[in-house]
This record gives sequence, C-alpha cells and structure tokens, in this order.
Amino acid sequence: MPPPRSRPGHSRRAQYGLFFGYVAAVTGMLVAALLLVASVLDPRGYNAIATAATDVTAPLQGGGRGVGRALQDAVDGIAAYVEAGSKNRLLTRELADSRTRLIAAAATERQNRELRALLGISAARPDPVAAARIVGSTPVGGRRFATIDAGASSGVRPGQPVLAAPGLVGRVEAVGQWSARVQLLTDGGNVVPVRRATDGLAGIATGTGDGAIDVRPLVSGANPFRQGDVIVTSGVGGVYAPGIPIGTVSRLTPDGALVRPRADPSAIDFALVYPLYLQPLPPPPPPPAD
Amino acid sequence: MSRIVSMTMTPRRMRQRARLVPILSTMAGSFVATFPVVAVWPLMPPVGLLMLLGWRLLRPELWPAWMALPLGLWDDLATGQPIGTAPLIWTPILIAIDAADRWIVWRSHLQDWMIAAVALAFALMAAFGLALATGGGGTIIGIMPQLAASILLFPLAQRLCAVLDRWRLLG
Repeated sequence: MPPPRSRPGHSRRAQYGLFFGYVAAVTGMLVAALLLVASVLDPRGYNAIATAATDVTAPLQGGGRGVGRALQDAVDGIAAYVEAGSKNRLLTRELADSRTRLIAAAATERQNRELRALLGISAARPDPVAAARIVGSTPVGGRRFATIDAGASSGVRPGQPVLAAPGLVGRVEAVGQWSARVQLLTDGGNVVPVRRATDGLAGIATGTGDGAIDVRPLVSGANPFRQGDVIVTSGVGGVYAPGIPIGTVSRLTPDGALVRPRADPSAIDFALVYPLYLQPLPPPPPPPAD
Repeated sequence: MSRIVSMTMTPRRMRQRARLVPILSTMAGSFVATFPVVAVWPLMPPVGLLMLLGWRLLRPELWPAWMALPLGLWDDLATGQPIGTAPLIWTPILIAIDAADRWIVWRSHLQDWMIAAVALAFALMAAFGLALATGGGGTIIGIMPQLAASILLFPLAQRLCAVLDRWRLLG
C-alpha cells in the first residue's frame, strides 16, 4: 500500500490544524476520565444517563429477543449432542435419586406446614413488584448486567432483588422509566450472603464475571464444601429473603467453592422483581435540642 | 467514467454521504452489542471498535484523533460500559496509529492486522481494568476468547469497510 497522506506537509495552517486536533483529543480523554471517576463517586447521575439509553433500546430488544433466543438455542442444541451419551447416563442416575428425595421432601413439607401453623409464622413471601422480560445484557464489557423491560413506572427501585422460577437472578442496579439494569449474580461486584441448604453453614457469594459464583465460608479452617452442595440465600442484610436457591457447587477451590447458578440468565425469559426483604430502618430522629 | 461520476446524485449529497457512511457504520457497529442475548461471558467482540479500526487503517486521512471521543461516547451508551470508558481507550489508540504511520510508512495488510491486534488487546485489557476499578471483578482469562474472536474478525470488518468505502465514493 502506498504511504497515506495523513501528514500535513509544509502548510502552516494544516500543521496547526493537526496540532489542535491532538490537543482536543487529549482534553477529551481527560474529560472522559473525569466522567469515569464521577460514575464511581456519584452513581446516581451516571445511572440516569445509562438507563436513558436502555429506555430506548429495551423495547427494540424485546421485539428481537425471539431471534436472539433461537440463535442461542441452536448453539446450545449443537453443544448438547457432543456429550449426549455421558449426560444421559448421569441424568438417569440423578432422576432415580431425586425421585426418592422428592417423596421425602413432600413429607417434610407437610410436617413443616403443620409446625408453622402451630407457631403462627406466616411463610408468605411479599408479592412481586413487577414481572419483566429479560431483554438484553452487556455482552462486550467486563461487567455482567442484564436489561429488563420494567422500570420506575412499574414501581421498580434500585436495590430490589430479581428472581426467576429456578432461583435468584440478581439485584436492580439502575432504574429508567421503562427499563432497568440488573446486576447479575455472576457479576464480579455482586456480593450475596448465603448458606448451605442442608446445615446452614454461612458463606459469602461473589460473582466471577465468567458465568460462575465464588462461595467462601465465613469460618476458617478446612474447606467445608463438597461437590453438589446446594447454596441458598441466608437473608442476612435484609435484601434477599432467606432460602432463595442460588446454585449447586460444581468445583472446589483452595478456599471455597465455585457454584453454577440455578437461574441461568441466558436461558430464562421472565423475571420477577421483589421488594426488599426488610424495609430499611427510618433515619434516627434528630437529637433533642436543649 | 459513468461509474465514477454518478449522474443521479447532486455533488452536495455525494459529499454528505461520503462523510456520513463511515460515522454511521461505526455507530451501527457499536449497536450490535444491544443484540438481544444475555451473555454470561464477555464473548461479543467490540464491533464498534473493529469498525473504527477498519476505517482508520483503510482511510488514514478520514478522521482526526478526537473523532474517537463522540464515537466512543455512543459506544458506551450502546454497550452499557461505564460512560467514559471507550473515549478514554479509543483516543490513545488513534493517536498511536498516527505515530505508527510515521514509523512504518509503507504497509501491507498483514501489518495493518497486527496493528489492529495490538490495539484490540490494549482496548479489551484496559476496559477490563476500568471495569475492575469501577466495582467489577473476575480474572483476565475471561476476556481471552473475546480477544481471539475480535482479532480473527478484524479482516472481515476491514473488508466491510472497503465495500462501504467503494459504495460511498462511487455510488
């Protein structure tokens, strides 16, 4: 390829033009850096701009979601053929196993209901704020966010937990008028207090950013997790109700376990937004003036 | 000659189209990120950046370095990254390619591809670093498949730019 003519040559005017172009570029970079700092220090203003964009794109995405799903299903379908044999054997064994457990669980549930009635505890979860479609995500960037097509006009507020039928999806990060951005469980910045379903062993779950969740026990010592352990929310902190399924342990790490989320956001279409499990306490009254 | 001088368009409209096609195609590239799939991994290549690199390496005189600022801002809105990420990353890439133009004057397609590969690696790693700094997490291994896909897709993006370039200039 011949050398391009990007250099201005001897014209003074063209040289100045190039120079001021660079000055403008560097100034713009500084402004961009300030915007980034502002998005960390004042997320509210930043979120207002970001959700204004999702307000525009969410209705379009909602319409095209069928195409996206068809494509995703095709890829999943091809991938499923690769390990069909070993998976079949595994699933048959699991099915037999879970049938036995299902019978036991039904008995436990009845007993549970009787005991609750005896104690007068209401087991009802609060009604969901809104039902929404999961319409998109941030597939390019390093953060794991999804977009849902319900926003402030449906009563969605930042911080509220988002659930799907299989389990916890994440929490609302930013709210627009008709759309909201949900921080998925697998996002690296999402921290959820959890416990093991069987014995209540407490832990902390953090996303890894690549489709898994890292769970660490709160007690030190030997790694207490085993493969197949079921992890649920513990309800500590008051954001998530206790007992929402998170996932099962798929692999052990030196100081914890990697959990595969039950609610795979790429495979679910609908999600429910719930109010905070415990309403935040009102601010303390001002000290009495004397 | 009839192919070069289009008789159906006024020169004014020709000039407008010549200027707008690269900008609009890059903006459309950013918008690919709103494709309605929910990604568990960061797998989708940064198509906006691929188009920017394609145009910049094909037509060095087309855009000054500051053009990365408005295009990057649009990309941030479309991809949902913290606002300021793409302007901050794309501008030094354009400045560095300007410097590379002085350094390697006669260039082949392979050298352009290598320049784009370095630019993409820088962009994805810097974006990962900025995501970490603004509250994200994870390991850098997670972006490697995305980086490989982006580098392999660059010739396709450049080919698309070349087709659009012919269309915008010749009609």
